[in-house]
Amino acid sequence: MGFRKGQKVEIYKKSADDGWESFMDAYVGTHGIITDPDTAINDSDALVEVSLVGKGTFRFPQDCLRCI
Amino acid sequence: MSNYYLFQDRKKCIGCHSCEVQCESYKSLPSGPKLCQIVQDGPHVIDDLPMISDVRFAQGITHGRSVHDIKHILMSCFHCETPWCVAACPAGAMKKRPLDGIVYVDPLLCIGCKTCIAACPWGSVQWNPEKRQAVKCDFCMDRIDRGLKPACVTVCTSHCLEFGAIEQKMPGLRKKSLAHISAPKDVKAEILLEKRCPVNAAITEIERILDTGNLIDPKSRRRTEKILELMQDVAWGRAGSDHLQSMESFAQKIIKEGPDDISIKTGQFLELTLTEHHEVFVSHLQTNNCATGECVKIAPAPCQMACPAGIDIPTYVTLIGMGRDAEAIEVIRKDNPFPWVCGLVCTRPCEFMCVRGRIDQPVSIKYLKAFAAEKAMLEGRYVNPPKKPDKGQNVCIIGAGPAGMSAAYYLSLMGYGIRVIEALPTAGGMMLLGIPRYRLPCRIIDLEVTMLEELGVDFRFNTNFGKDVSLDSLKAEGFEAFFFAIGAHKSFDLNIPGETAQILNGPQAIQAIDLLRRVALGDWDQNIKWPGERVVIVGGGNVAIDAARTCLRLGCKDVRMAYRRTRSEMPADVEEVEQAEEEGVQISFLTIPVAIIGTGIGQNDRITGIRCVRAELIAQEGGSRKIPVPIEGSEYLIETDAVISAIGQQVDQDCLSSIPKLKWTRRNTLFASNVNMKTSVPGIFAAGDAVSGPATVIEAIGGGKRAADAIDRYLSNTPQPRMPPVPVRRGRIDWIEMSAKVKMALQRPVMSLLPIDRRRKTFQQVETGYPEQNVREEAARCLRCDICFRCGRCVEICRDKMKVEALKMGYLDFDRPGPTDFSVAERRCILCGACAANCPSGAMRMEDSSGERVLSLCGMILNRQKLIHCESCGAVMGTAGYLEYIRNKHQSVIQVADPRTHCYICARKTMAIYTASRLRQYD
Ligand SMILES: Cc1cc2nc3c(=O)[nH]c(=O)nc-3n(C[C@H](O)[C@H](O)[C@H](O)COP(=O)(O)OP(=O)(O)OC[C@H]3O[C@@H](n4cnc5c(N)ncnc54)[C@H](O)[C@@H]3O)c2cc1C
Ligand code: SF4
Ligand code: SF4
Repeated sequence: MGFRKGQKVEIYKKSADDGWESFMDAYVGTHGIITDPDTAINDSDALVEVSLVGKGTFRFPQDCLRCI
Repeated sequence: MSNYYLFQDRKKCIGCHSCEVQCESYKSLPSGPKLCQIVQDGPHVIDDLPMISDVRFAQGITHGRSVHDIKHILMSCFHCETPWCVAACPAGAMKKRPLDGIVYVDPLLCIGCKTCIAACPWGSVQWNPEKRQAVKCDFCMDRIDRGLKPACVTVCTSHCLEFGAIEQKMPGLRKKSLAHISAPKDVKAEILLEKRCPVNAAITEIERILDTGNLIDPKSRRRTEKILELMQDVAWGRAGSDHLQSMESFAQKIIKEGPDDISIKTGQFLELTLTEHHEVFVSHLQTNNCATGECVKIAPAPCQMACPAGIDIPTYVTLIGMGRDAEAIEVIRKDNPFPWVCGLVCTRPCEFMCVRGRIDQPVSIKYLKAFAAEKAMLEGRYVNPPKKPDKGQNVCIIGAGPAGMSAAYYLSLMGYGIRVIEALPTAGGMMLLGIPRYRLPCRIIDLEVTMLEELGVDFRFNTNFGKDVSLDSLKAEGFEAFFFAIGAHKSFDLNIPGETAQILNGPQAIQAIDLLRRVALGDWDQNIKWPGERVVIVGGGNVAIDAARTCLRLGCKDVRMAYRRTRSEMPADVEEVEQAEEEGVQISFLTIPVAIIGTGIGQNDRITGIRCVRAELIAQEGGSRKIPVPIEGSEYLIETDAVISAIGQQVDQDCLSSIPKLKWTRRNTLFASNVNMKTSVPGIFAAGDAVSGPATVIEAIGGGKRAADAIDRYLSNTPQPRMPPVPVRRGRIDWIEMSAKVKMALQRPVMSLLPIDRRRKTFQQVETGYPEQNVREEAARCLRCDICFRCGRCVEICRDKMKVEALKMGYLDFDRPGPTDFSVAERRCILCGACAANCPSGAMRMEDSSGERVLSLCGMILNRQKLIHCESCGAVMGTAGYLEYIRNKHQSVIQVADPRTHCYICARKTMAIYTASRLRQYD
């Protein structure tokens, strides 16, 4: 799905995508806000920028995110 | 009363105060509270009171009047039958042991509201300012439970104190058994109240040592700084298995090679800390957890955490609020060398996380930077920090965009020799080539790039990696580490017929990036109408918008965007779309281009139009997202002189083909760990768009900074972290004081824009900024989340313990923010201070000044009320509301006949008088 700026999301699972790094395992279950979705073509495969509460801002594959 | 008595033979007492001293030391009291106290006050004509009965005394029943000498009278606690303090305590912390009647404070439950102190007419309950809790004599019940006597009794030099069962001293008074009760050991309390995390304590101490400036030996200082860095990794749960060993080895080297006393002492302290607390360090490493929670307490504000470069936002915002712009810039540049650029173009993830946004609008964090940078620059106070001594090691950076230049800045400050290789004739990367001048004027990039040149960064322009230089040639020149920040400059093709056909000025479809680059560099024939009278931009993202608005400014009469989906799916920022439409850009939604049409294509002729089909959004099977599907027979032609494609960029891999070991991801980006920006080739690091794909300036800056740290660790054999860095607090700035009413009334200012007719015609900056007054006020809207970490304890205490419910702060919760209304505090707060006493960060504060008691949260004044003073000595008693609250609490236990208000010192004197009359029977 295409995410919009400002949406609240949860990292609800790990992703098998190569954009998922091992340090991100610790972030499963955390909540955050989409701060920079794919602003070029709205590609459901693009990495999107999420700011996680208390963790920082990273780009995640979209298949590990769900809106809350 | 309790089952015990503490009797003082006044004739024997020599007034040596040993009992007081022993009590203080046994109870680990700071100076101030006195649980047992020798009161001296000369002769008094007083009422003769009956035997201990707080009820009758309170009702004012006396046995005539006589003179009593108040000399050396030991005062502690009556352990009343119906204790006022127990009745008043809203937290159930003041208790009376059922089996022996000792009245004591449970430190785990005490919320520090001081209600018991104000309630006790004898002044027996006192305040421990260190623990911010009530304390009182409990006859040293832990000792009693072990068959020992209270501490004061054991130490009395004149043996005038006697302790025992009240039955023996005053037969008939006490009926209950003196059964031996063993109190449970307060293990939790010990941990909560006494213990500090050694990791955290060591960090504070190292910071202190470094701050003093006494550690002057450069090697020892550098090693100590490295240990600090590694210890911060440990505190933040990002340390790897090598961290401990590495810290130990640095500490040993400091001791062994330290040329002076201070170096050796520092090394010894570090070594001792690491050995003594080895287990705690290992536990932090293995569990990523701090048992005391101390390491978490230093969590930065949500905005700082959200900033990909980790800028200390609350500190700089507050400095700007105070008018200290140059200092604010100094703080920002510790994490981001481009405050002015970012102040104008940052995508501001921080503002999405800004806690103030949960109340009304986020603080305008982004723009404040630009204001301060301009001010500091105008004042000549925008300066570089001092560089560290030359390390004699060189790093080569490829690409002069924000990622490359950020790494260059931080590595240069660390003392590395830096060369930046750039294919183009100028620095800036996409900040210059992509972002149009009406959003980011060239001079601003130039001014901030000049700061790097001042540091001695060696820029080599017009030098293409892969053509003019190679990895081998650079290694041969002595570079020991490399940082690739080449961005993502290759556009995706539309893949429609006619796209690549050549016309007079190149291919028919111009890439948006090419258009913007040529405009930025002035690289087009300004005598011809370029790209045409009528243009169609294919795409709906930010780059498409920039291209469309640029075309308008180039004089194109008809600028249209063709986008496949609807407005609500448009990936471009809403504000950008709004501004573009205001300026005259038209958008055709649900439009799919199918071919570019021209006359005599292939014969250097011209474009005439773009053929499109209409689309409808159809839900995908099994997917939640609708996709655009062409509607059969809906084909139509948009007449145009130029087609600009803006459907995304990718990394150009060609220039790196000579390094086959570099790993690429399936998105054709350079593989590099986001923790330390290491690629698959040792010594080669990468960040920015080349790694993330097309992203943002601030992400590129953050990546560049992380890479600089990783390169430094690589070149100095220091272990790399396991987790991404946690931002560092760069200052401890005082808060700005103002009333909650004013703070909440302040609104985020609206950005003023250039008049629309000028916007259509010129590349003049569109956003014209805020006036200074607005900037200062906007900065003052910050809630200082670096101090208040929103644990919500104050709200809980006020609601659940005090039952006052004065704090309505719905913004504390990220997931379920509720309404916030500080006017409730103004109406309901009684200024008991329980919230302040329980605030773990010192954000909630209660202070007395100018005859008023003031409650504030990070400087935001929630309530202020007049103070009531002790009728005898004038000492502060609290506010009327607070005293009323306590009186209401008493009502259930006892009616007070004497309405006078006495502080606890005077109350103790009253009690001494009472005791004197009482003890006369035993004289
Ligand atoms: C039109 C447009 C508008 C944008 N607007 C915004 C915005 O408003 N806010 C925002 O945050 N971001 C914006 N961005 C994105 C932002 O500009 C980039 O994310 C950022 O500049 C990436 O930085 P970088 O250092 O990784 O790469 P770049 O800025 O792309 O810099 C890479 C540099 O490497 C050089 N280079 C490439 N190959 C070689 C080689 N072989 N040898 C030598 N040098 C080489 C390039 O010439 C370039 O100078 C925008 C991007 C575009 C295209
Ligand atoms: S209110 Fe201030 S400290 Fe809190 S998140 Fe916003 S800018 Fe940061
Ligand atoms: S808000 Fe007022 S009433 Fe509530 S705990 Fe704080 S000081 Fe007491």
